[in-house]
Amino acid sequence: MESQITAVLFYGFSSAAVISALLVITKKNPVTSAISLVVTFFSISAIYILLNSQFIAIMQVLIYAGAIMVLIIFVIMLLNLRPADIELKNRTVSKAVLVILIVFIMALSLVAIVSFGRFSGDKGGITPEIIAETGSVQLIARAMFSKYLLPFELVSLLITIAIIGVVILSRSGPGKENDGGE
Amino acid sequence: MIITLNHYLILSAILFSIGTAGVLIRRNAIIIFMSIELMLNAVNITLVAFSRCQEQVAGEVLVFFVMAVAAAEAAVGLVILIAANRYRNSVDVDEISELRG
Repeated sequence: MESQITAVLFYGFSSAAVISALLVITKKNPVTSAISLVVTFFSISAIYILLNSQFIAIMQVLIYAGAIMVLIIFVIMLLNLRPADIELKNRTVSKAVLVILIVFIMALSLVAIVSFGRFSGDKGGITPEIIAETGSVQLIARAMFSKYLLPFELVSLLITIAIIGVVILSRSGPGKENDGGE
Repeated sequence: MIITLNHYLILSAILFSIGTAGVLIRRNAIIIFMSIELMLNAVNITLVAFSRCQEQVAGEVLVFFVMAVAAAEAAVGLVILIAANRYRNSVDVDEISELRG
């Protein structure tokens, strides 16, 4: 019974994710694409809940659906984009068909690899019972601040560099001489 | 009807392929950017699914790092888009085709 509920939830959320992902790449209006991407992110967050990984699910909503989507929508509004007239990157239809065919073959081979693959390896011993008892946040935090402390610090360094880069790029842009009154 | 690891991997493969198609067929740089985010998310699903299957937390820690790098990438990429828009008055990737300043 429980596995059937899980199955229903999995198929519901994964079809929602796939359909809204298709809307992202087919809609003409960038704002519509962005809203569809938010729906995709929320569905993926539900998939993480099904995978018993609550911390990652919350982070998905906070970082992707929150911070990154706000940035993207802000830039769409700032640039004042119109819905594009010519949608396909390759102007001829035959090239577009070729691209879609190549992507379709890639998708088929990926699905074939993962559906017939047998994956094995050492079990780490973090069973669902332990997760239910200790909590996903505590388990991840324990690993992150002991074994993965150096990568964690390096990520903060990377984010600092990104902040400095963003400030420099946005201040000393090409329009500095032209529109100094900005 | 039990959902196994392979179900999650197939979902991830489908989302990754949709992201690839978006990068290849669209011309608007912001849509391409969103497709890249989609591909990153697909890989994150794979990492969490394997992490749960192997009963480890290493995959989830890696997903956290991917999210942090994606946030930094989003900030830098969007500022580059704004700068390119200032030059060219367009975010069409076919028109932004020269490196000369």
